[in-house]
Amino acid sequence: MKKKIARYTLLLIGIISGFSTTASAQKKVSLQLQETTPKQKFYQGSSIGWGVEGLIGKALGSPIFNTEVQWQVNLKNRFLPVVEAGIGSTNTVNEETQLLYKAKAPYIRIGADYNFMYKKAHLPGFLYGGLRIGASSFSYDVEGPTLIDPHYGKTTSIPISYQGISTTALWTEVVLGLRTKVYKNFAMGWSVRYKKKLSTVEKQGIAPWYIPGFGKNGSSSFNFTYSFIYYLPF
Amino acid sequence: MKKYLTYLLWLACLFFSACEEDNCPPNALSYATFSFVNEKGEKVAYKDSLTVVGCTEFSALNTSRDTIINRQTNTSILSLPLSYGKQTIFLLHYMNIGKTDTLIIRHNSNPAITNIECGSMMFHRITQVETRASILDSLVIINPVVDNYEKENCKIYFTANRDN
Repeated sequence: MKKKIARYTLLLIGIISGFSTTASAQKKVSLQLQETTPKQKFYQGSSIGWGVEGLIGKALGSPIFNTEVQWQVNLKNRFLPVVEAGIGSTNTVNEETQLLYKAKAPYIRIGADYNFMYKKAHLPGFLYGGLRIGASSFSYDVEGPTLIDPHYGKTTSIPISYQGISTTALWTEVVLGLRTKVYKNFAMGWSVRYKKKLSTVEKQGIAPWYIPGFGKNGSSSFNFTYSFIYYLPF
Repeated sequence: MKKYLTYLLWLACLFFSACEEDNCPPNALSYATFSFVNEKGEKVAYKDSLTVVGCTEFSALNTSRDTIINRQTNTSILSLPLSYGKQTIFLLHYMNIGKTDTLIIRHNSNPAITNIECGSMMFHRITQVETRASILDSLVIINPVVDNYEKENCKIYFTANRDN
């Protein structure tokens, strides 16, 4: 009988102590939550950015020049809708094929980023992922050596000279990037982008070689961006 | 954190350089493909010697003609280059019986550039076909587009008893 009473007493102590530790842990968790996730304002400001990777690429000898500006809004330090507008151009001759390709046009992208570190607002930077949809309406020139029929006496020749072929391209992008403040309201950031072409109209059998804002024509492309950012004081 | 980001950046650079690829098509030439079939549309082969000569005009037969196939045996498919002009004429010489069929192919020819790194190609669209036949029955367009993708463009029909 004594053994039984001792067993029940131990069990009761165990349960009570268990409840009390759980309750104190819950208190701690709720306190921590209050500390780490203070109620966020909906609008937390906006920023403007300047993409310079195209300038760097051109300086390093790339045939493509590209620059863009970005305007991004910070909502609850979590959702970051963005508009990016830029200009892309190229004027290049392929040494092997002697084909010249020339294009210059603006492009636009709209989308949003998601701040993966929205709970850590005290940090100077954050890691983000996002989506974009981009479009460019442009025209291009292609010139090259005359095509000579290799058969039947080689008498027929057709010149390669196309001016102002106009087309429109549409694509989507998946973005992964990092941004950090460097001085007061100034920040720098880079991103990697996987771009998937949705549509482009190929006219006269001459495909565009470069699509402003997308890069070299293909079903998909990878790009790297580097931006200087200024957080607007309003 | 800084060190980690630097590594990440280098990895990204390596990944992008590794993704550079040459998208040029393996075949930059375009040939019109003709298949030999019997009256039921079943594939047949001409087993004896066949020679195919091409030109752009009948008047140029003696001056600027090309022998495209020379004494080939067991022929069931012909892959023949079209001219850069509007017409190509093919003469099919059945050597053992001393007979000739003439195929007259009318077409448009347009340069095609898929990528300036890959150069230019000539693609064609067959608009009309005509024959001056001695042993074949008829010539029918199946797919008028002649580009660098191998596909059957025309069927040449033979009757079974004439088929060798």
